Amino acid sequence: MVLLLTSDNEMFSVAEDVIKRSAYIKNMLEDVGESDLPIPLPNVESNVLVKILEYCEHYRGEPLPASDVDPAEIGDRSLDIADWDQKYMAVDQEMLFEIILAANYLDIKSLLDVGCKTVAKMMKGKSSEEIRTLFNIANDFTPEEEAQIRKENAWAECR
Amino acid sequence: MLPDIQKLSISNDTLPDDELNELRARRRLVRQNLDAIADNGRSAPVPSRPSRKTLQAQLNAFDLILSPHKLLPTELLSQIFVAAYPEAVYIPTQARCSPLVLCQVCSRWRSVALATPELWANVILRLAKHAQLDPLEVVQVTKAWFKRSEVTEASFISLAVLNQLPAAWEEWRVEEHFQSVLDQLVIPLAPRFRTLQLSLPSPCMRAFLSCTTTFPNLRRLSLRMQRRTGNASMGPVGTKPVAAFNRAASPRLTDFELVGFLGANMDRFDLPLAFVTRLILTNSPVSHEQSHALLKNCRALEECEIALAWFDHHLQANATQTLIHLSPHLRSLTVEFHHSNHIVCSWFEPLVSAPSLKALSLSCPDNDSWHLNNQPLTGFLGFLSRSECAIEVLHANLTFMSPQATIAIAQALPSLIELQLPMSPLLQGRLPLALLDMIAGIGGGSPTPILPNLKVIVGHVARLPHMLQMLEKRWELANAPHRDGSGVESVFIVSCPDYVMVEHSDSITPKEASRVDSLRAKGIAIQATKSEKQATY
Repeated sequence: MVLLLTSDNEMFSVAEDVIKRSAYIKNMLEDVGESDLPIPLPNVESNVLVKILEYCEHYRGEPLPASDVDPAEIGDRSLDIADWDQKYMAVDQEMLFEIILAANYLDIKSLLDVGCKTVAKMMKGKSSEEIRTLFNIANDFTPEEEAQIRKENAWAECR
Repeated sequence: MLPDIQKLSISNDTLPDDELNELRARRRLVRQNLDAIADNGRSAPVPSRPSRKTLQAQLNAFDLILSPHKLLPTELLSQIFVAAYPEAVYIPTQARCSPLVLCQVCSRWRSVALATPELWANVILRLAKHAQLDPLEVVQVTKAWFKRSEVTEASFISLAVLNQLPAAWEEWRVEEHFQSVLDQLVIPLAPRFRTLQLSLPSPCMRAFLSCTTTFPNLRRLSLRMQRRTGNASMGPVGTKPVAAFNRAASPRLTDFELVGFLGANMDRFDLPLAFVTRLILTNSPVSHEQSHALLKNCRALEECEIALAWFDHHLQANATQTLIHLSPHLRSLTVEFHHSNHIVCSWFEPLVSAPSLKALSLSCPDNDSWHLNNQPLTGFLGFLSRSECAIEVLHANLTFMSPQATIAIAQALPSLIELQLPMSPLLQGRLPLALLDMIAGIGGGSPTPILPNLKVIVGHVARLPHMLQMLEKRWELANAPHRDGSGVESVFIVSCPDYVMVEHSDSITPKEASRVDSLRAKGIAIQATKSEKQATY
């Protein structure tokens, strides 16, 4: 078992084959060897780690992705997401982005891909105004900048 | 020092952790105060609207400041953008269908999008008469688009050009537009191309092939020759060596496609054949000798499509040929023949070894003509047995294949999953009834069905009931328990075809129609059509 300590000081005891989906933890275990000391995760809160462990548990036993492949050459570039992954990602926006951040920090590539695709799917086909509303983004362009952008992209409008 | 709420509420930048924690704590406090007011409001007679209003405004401001998207650092935002627009972008396009929309959201997204070269590296240029954009302006827009992908000189780009110009336009006007694509995009950006798919009028193609530009990073090249009916430019595209696409100018080329190069002389393209993994020559016939030379020299080939020239078939019948070892990686081979089975045999005669071959497609455009020949396809069968290949897909659109040859081929390919024969009522080429019986395990002197993995079957049958009987029998076998009552394991395990497209010469009776419905109910997709052509028995 591996002990993990979250940023809000909660301790988790996790099976090694479950958490090894995280390349960060896997490398740490290989470098440090067996230890009773918990691995601190200062960038992951307990509620997010619970979700991450749910993912790792679901894919327990599945082959890990090769680490030495050029990411530009491989990967599913479509926005298709497996049914289970879609249900798993049906969370509020804050948790969704926290999962992406944690997947990036823990180096769980497949989870990071699913997270990015989920957000990508949310914005696909939407106008800039719809995207702003969706993600609660402030329009910080000055009127002059907006006019300039409209001019730049005039060829792609009103078609 | 407390963060400036006013300033933060109009910024989309990420927040430092300490500031984030401070703001979250303040939002919690505002939320608690609001909740308290709501609780008091239920018991107190005086409404607390002003205070609630102020707190609600503060809460809204905090929600905007603490929007989850601000959690994402630039590199993750960039990764999401690439996931959202992974494919090539059509130009012209609508902003909301392209990465342009990202540049219109806010200043942070704009700067991240403009600093993500992958978003601007793949274009499908549509040369057409657009309402908003002149075709020549499209070229300028594309040039500006590619400029955004230029992080370093080695930032790779991909371009495909589609011709959607009005058919009524004069030839010189069309050529002018294509020439501007070549002069302003293709040639200046040549070192950056990873993929290039060009469909060009023949004069532009000739000019392009004679240019001395180098494409040092090009991996995939597709050249399609556009010809106009009755145009004097029909015919071979020249005899001079092609300077731009040879092993010196394009050393990394692994995927090469020619379409519509009549009289293509592959010797003109001194390609880096040892590295080519995909070679597609569609409507670009080559001689037998050239086709064999290509197969011999492409040692890394995975996919190949070749059309054999009609003009030299007579040279090959008695040619002495040395053995040709095919690429060990070859998975898919498509060959178009122009003549009858002795040519098929002589072409396959010298070929050996294709251990990875999974899909083989043979066709003959002269299918309507009679090349009656009952000789078995010995050269082809010899190739199959020499190669010990586990072909899973066979499309043999050859009307001159005798029933005996069809059966022999099926017997030589036990791994077959998909069998496609011509939709022809001629005796040659159609699905022999004896073969259907053998697939059902009720003929051929053995109760063991052949082609145990067969899932797709397409072709013409003289009598539909034979096909239905085969399907019923296979369904029965596929759904039978693999162990009998005494626990003895069944001798064979077979699949039942789940897709059948069949033309039949006889009329369908109500009883047969009911059998078809019954098979459909079992999950077999059947398309059965009575042939309009006269059957030949």
